[in-house]
Amino acid sequence: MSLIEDIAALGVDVEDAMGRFMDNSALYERMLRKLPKLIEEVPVMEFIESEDFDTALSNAHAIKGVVGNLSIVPLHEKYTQIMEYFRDGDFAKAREVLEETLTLQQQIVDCINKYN
Amino acid sequence: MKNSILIVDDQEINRVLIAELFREEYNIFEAENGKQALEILEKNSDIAAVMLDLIMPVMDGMEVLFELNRTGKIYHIPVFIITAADNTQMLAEAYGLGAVDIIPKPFRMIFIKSRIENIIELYRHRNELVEVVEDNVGKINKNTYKLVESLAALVEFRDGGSSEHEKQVRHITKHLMTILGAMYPEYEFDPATVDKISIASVLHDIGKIAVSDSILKKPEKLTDEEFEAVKTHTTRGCDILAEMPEGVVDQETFRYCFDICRYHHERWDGSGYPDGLSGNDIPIWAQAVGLADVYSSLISPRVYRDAFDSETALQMIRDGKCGSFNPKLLKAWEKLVDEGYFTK
Repeated sequence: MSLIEDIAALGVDVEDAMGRFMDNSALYERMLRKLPKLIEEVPVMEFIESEDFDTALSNAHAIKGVVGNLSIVPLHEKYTQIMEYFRDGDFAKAREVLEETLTLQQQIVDCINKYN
Repeated sequence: MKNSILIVDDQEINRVLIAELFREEYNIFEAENGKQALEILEKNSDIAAVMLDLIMPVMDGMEVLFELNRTGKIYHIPVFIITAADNTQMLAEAYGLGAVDIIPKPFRMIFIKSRIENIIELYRHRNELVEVVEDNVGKINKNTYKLVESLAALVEFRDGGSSEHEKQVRHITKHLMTILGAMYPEYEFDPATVDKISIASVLHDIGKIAVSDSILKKPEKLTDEEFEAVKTHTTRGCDILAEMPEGVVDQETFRYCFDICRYHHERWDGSGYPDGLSGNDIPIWAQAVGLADVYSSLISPRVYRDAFDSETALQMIRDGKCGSFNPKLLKAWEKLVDEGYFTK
């Protein structure tokens, strides 16, 4: 098994990713391997809990942009929803969706870390 | 040729993705925030395009756009907004500030490569065209100004002097305006404007064409009536300028010619002519030419007197023997004296 095959099993649209990366799978893998560090650097839940919603929004925005570029579709959809709730000021709902997301996010991070 | 690209994004993954697209053809600069981006832009003049994220720490993309507008760089370097933000108002504002295109994240590498390269090519052609046009305009202006100078030389020749006086007035005006602007911000003009003012200064006495030879070349003291006739050279000069075919000089230069012609004999205390204007009602460019003209006339021989030496002429101005001038203009004048301008 390769990282790309493993990650595809978690719902990542690898075909779409290859389209984005002009079929450069080595570059795609290289970028995937950077994701765990990014997610660690821009926590969202921590800032929701401390009610620093501006930082929480900014961090969610950063993750949304990157997972979108990596075609990690399930996470991109969830973070898009979270951003919408933030923008509407519905922080409780944003937190609820984030909680649902964190399990999958952790699975993706663990999967990538196996190859780091 | 500009051959670098600046990628501004706080996320390394996004920067690397874009960098990968252009690595073979361009040098890549990367910045994690707007502040770093502006520093890179300041130090490097070969940047062909900027890829700019909007939401970043330290300094965001909108602030970068504001700064690029303020410095005018936005007109020479295409800026692409690459963002996951979908705030319509902010994106519209980014366009308003000169962003050439907005590329939403997530993006497909192949598409953004084509979009960006097309615009870079357009800008390259546009910048080349601007250079060609500026070069041609410069040549046309140079020829026009040679004509203007020749005209002024004819006037001076008829007045019994040489074209040196006009050249001297032009030279002094340029330095005086520059030093005045450096000392007093309210009188500061960009170098191109100072050039136009100094070129316009050579026509200050063009109205003398309309004054009789017998008066201009009279070696004895003029009668009151004759002096009144000499004074008309200011207004007659404006009449001549008004007859000048359109387009000989640009509108801005024409305005300076007109003001200088009419007002270069006005004095700060209102004792001058033809309108008796005082203080800053006299355009500053006409004040500067007035002072330059006085000095240059004093050190030039006239049919009715010999030339004064430079030191005597400077002292006469200080003593107010040639009328009163703007105190700030006189301070700038003294700075020119201190810098040795009149002894070179």
